[in-house]
Amino acid sequence: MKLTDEELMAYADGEMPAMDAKRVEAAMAEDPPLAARVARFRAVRRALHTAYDSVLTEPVPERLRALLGDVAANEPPPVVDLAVHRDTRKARFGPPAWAAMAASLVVGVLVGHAVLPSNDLLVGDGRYAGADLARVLDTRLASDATNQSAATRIGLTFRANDGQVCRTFSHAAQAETTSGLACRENDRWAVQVAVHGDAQGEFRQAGADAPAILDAVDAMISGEPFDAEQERAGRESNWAVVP
Amino acid sequence: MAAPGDPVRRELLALLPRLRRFARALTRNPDEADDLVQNAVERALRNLAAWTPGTRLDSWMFRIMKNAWIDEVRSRSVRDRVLAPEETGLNVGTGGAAEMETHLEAQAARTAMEALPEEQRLVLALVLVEGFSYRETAEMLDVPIGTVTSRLARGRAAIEARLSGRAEGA
Repeated sequence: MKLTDEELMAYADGEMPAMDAKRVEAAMAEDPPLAARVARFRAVRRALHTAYDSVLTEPVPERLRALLGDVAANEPPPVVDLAVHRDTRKARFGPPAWAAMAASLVVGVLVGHAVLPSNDLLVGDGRYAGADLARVLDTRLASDATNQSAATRIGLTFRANDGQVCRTFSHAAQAETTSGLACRENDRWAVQVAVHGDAQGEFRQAGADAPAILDAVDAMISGEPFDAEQERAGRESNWAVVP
Repeated sequence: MAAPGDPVRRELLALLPRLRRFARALTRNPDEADDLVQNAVERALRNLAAWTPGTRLDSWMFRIMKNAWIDEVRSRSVRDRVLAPEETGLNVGTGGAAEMETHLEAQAARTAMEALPEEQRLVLALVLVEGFSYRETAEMLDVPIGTVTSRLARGRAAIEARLSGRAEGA
């Protein structure tokens, strides 16, 4: 079967109807160079995110905020804007019941699944952060200058309904990205949700702001995400649980 | 005209980081990018009545920004066009080789984007950087979806070739 670049890209972007996607997958299984080409197209998306996502954590210049009547705010913007995500989702899908459904679906389907790319990123059948990821979750702040350019990035930090501190992360390896949500549990980070960038459909956009991850955050969060100051205090207290 | 602190302004305020990222992907340096954001936000505020509540504010705002940018490109002088692209967002991490490699790849991706024809860069910025679907992008650009896919294919293949060329040469 002859596949054009346009078809391969539609497949790589999760834009292809399921039946056609199956045809592409069958062709890729028989033709490794074809699979490599799809991987390179995905790599372009990742490279462009690496190139431009750091803008999201830069402080917005006062002249722009002032246009919208915000002259007092000095906090840098959150890496991931949950409010924007909520509005986007409402506009797209209507009732919030969709959120819980999608979140539980992802937990069920993907945690511990064999598609996870790095054997060491998650351990215990995908239930816990491996040593390297745990180190990043322990020490890195979203506001750190190096966060956006690192292979493993921190997104949101927040307190869950049960008092645990939870953090979202995104790990890029080769052409693929694994994003997830981990919560502090005793001295470990328990992974609640993980999404692999190779998956299709809802999981297509597997950055720190992957819809599935934000939906899980939405279902668990108590109050607002941590600002830079709260995040720093959280690290100093070793992400202690609040009763 | 909406008053300061109203919900639409708050939403636009929350959109600023994404608008700045989009602008950075379209333009050649951070100042030019923020000028574009400012221009677009001013246009949006003048035309708030044209936005239909209940529809997506982000798509509406990105469309305004796209129009502002096309106007900017059209009015750009020949002198501007021949200026060498500036180094954008230089931020070398303090970490090791892996971080340096990420930085170099980011720089290569930015350079490759700058080399694309404007219409392709616009599609790549909306689909690959901002995460809009092909259909949403076609609607924002007022072009058929086939035009989006063909521009995306050409632009992305060009960037892919430059990035793999760099990897092989390294």
